[in-house]
Amino acid sequence: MSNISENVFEAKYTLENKPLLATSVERILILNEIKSLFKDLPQPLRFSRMLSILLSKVSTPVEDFDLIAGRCVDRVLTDEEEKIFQQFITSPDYTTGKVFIPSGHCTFSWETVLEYGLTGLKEKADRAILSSEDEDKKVFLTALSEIYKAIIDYTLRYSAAAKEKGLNALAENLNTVANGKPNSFASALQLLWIITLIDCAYIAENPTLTVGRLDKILYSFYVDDIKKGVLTEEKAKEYITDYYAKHNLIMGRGEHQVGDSTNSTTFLRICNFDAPQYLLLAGSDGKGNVCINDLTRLFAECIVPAFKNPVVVVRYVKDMDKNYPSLWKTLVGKALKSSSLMFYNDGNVSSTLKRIGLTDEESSEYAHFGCNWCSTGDNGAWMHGSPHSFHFNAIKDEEERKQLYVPYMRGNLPFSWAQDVVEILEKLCLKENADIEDFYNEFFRTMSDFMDRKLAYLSKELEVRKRKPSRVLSFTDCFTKCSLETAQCFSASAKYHFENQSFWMFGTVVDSFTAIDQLVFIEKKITLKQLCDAVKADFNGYEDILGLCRNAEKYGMDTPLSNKHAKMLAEKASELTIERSRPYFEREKLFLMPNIQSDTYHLKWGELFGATPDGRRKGSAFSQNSRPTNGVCVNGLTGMLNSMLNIPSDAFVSGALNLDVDGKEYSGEEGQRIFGAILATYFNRGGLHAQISVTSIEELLDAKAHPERHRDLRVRVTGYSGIFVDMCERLQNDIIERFK
Amino acid sequence: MNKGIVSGIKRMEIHDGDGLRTTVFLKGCPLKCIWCHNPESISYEPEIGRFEEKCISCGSCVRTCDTNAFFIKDGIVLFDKGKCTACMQCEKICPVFAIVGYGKEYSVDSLVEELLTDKPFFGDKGGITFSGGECLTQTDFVVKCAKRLKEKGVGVYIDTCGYVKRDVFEKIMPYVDKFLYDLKAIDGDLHKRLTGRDNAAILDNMKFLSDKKCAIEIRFPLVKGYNDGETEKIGEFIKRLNIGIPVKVLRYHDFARSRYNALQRRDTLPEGQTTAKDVVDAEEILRNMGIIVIKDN
Repeated sequence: MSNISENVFEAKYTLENKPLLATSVERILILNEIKSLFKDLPQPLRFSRMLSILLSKVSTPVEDFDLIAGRCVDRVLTDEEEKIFQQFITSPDYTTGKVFIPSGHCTFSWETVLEYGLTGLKEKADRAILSSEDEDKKVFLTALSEIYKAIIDYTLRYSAAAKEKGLNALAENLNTVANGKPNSFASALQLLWIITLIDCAYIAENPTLTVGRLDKILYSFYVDDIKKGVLTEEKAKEYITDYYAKHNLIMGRGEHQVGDSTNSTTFLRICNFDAPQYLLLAGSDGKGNVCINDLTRLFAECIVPAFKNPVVVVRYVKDMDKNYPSLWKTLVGKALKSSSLMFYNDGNVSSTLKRIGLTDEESSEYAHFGCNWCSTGDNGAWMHGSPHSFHFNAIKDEEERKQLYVPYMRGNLPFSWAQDVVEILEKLCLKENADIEDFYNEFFRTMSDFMDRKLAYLSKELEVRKRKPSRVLSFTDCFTKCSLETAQCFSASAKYHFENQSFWMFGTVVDSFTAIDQLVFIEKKITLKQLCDAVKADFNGYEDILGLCRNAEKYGMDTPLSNKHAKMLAEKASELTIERSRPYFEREKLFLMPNIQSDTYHLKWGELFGATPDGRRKGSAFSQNSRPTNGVCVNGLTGMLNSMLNIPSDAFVSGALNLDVDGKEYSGEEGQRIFGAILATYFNRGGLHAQISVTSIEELLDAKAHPERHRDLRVRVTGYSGIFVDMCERLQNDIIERFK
Repeated sequence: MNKGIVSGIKRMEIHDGDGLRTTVFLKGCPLKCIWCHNPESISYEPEIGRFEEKCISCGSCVRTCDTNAFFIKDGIVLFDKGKCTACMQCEKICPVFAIVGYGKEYSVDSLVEELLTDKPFFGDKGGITFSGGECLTQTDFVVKCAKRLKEKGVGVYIDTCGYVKRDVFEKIMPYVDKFLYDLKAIDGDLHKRLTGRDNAAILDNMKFLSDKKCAIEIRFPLVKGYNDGETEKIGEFIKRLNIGIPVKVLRYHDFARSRYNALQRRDTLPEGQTTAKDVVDAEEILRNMGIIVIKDN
């Protein structure tokens, strides 16, 4: 058995057999021991010193077949250790979020990392300390320097461990990484993995970071090595495969968004459930040049269908199928066997970012990270959600935060566009001669108000941060250009600040508008009042109206009326998001990022909300992400895609489309060719995104009945793929519905 | 004829010819194959299929039906197909999709427009397949549609049982890229027992198309225990045709059973299943006879 097959086997076996609550156990035990130390130091230094100790004590396991080093001890806590963990996470000495900032969903400046190496970054920090007169800045920079040193020392320990195993080439690569800039393809990949490992296994509670455009940033290393004759294509593939394998060793099996099978300490425990790292391939640069090279192909060829991680994000460039037929064939073949590959239309994302106001170059350097969220690459900081979940809250006053938070909610419920339609229905049924235009006006007035309130909150938050620059240090700051240059955390110092503006439950809203327009205004089969009464009664006693609503045209059927409403709603929502952001963008580079992403909230929120005019009953799921409502795509995949092509190509930066296909339908050379042609046609015509799950209803039902037979059945959930048999029943049922 | 009756349109079809296709099923068939998997296409008239297992007896259909074809007895909704005029109103109001209307009237314009929706996805190989029923029984309509589609640059396949007059093929031939031609049995008596019709015209038409060098793919629906004994005879027949006409062996399944019940049509579907191995065995026989065998996707 070669090195590679052993690595792949190990990662696959680990992924299939890892217990749900397995974690990097040493992190917990070591941090518990030192949790009372450095209490008098400011957070950055306390973080750097605790991390230094942690990295000096954790094991450095190496296997004989490792080409890239970096593993952690990953197992379930013993009963005794579990007690320690429970005490630890509630200890007043150490509360998560205060010392180890749980970074995640972020974009490191990977090019900078490779350009300077760990020692170069440390030197930069040390020089900045000498030239800085601000004490706070010195503290921040000192902590950065200490962290680089800790990683260097950790890497050296790894080098020694590799040498002890007799793995001299590996030891040498590690030495290179520890003592200077990476000087080869292998050492560059090694450096990227060491940093990724530390973040994912020891720090971030839900990392889901982007590991970057590796075909672009590693290309010069690859070419140089080939020229020097120290690397072959085959050897490069071995390194890439090992890099992929390592990602899967730290990946957990559970389900964090809907899953009921795990407890509330999932994040604190760091189980790496559904925490995919996104690796970006292909795409264009700021001048419109296509960035596809030999490495794009090698990274594509190395995708292992059985793996869950990293998720390869292919930035589809127009006519990729025609101009790069061999690469396209490889990608489609992998997509039909794997659930860790997705496609984004490069042109769509870049165009949308340009519309927001980013430069051509910045627009081309975007990144996606789990779960399908888009970022402005290493130029920006995601403001990450609502005040209650925001880790860097600058607004300390609880009351003030609560006040600001109120607009995010609807009573005790989250804000729901679908519910808006119902409220507008209630309002307009009292109005004489109301028409569909009135619905649009009301809907977008509500949406506009919501965005204004949200932007006002975010602006206030940003203002406070910038007025009193935060010295809170997270691991992300160590690898972000702006943090190093300004000696303050990236969440204050980044060029761009953005928050997602999701058009939640898009399909449900389109279907509701369509049903109202069709049944009330065009066919005049019912009145607004009748529809309103029926919806308010959850259609109980209104079965005829329920039937009419359910049989109305739907987004996904590729019918003229539903297409018209999909287009108008998407166009206007995106336009509004950009328009309302404009003054904030011009003033402080703050904006709302337009997307159609709902993750799995279509289930959770569906349970909370009442009926909707599309015939959806109270408590039922909404439509998910950019996808039509389950079960309505009676005109097949092309009908669904044609419907989705009504979403303008410069309107949204993300919006997951789960394409669920029965593998049998596209087996063989011809089946793959046809599927590839469908995908390429969709993207060439302006489709935004596609991620593919290949299974069948029969297999899903069998997996539900006999989970032991399907330990490796992976299905795309939203931005991540989950192990089907580890999901809770309601998520399993939702996925089965999707496949119908 | 400018109007056609269509029992269904299936987009994203990869089994009815090459590439990605849209298949349009026209209503009406002169044969009555016992294994017919499109029972909704046998009758020439529009009709309602009612899937009883989905019905929740809410009564919406009863309230909307003008001819009392739907009625309630002991709290259960029942359907008297004899009274149904296939106005399709019940289909539009059923909240649980238990009622499906088969047989929508299309003009040439409206059908062609709908069929062109997926044109961007067809690529070089794909296109439209006219199927049924026997699509060629609506001759003028299909000829006009095919002509229009050809003018629009879309490839047209005809899926036929062959039981139509010779001049029908003469009319449609200029607009057809390939015929998907069913051969069910060579033995005339057997053919009649299985389909209700003699096969002389079918075999003659097949030979005619072959002589005219039309592109043809022969399709042999293999129903274990019924026509599997015909495999070699079919091979012999193909050998006598122009060289290079391929055959695809289709595996019989009984997925259509629920539609027989919904349509209140006598269920003639054979009980046994044709296995994948049965298909492979038949393919092997044909291949050994020098016939080109195409595998189903």
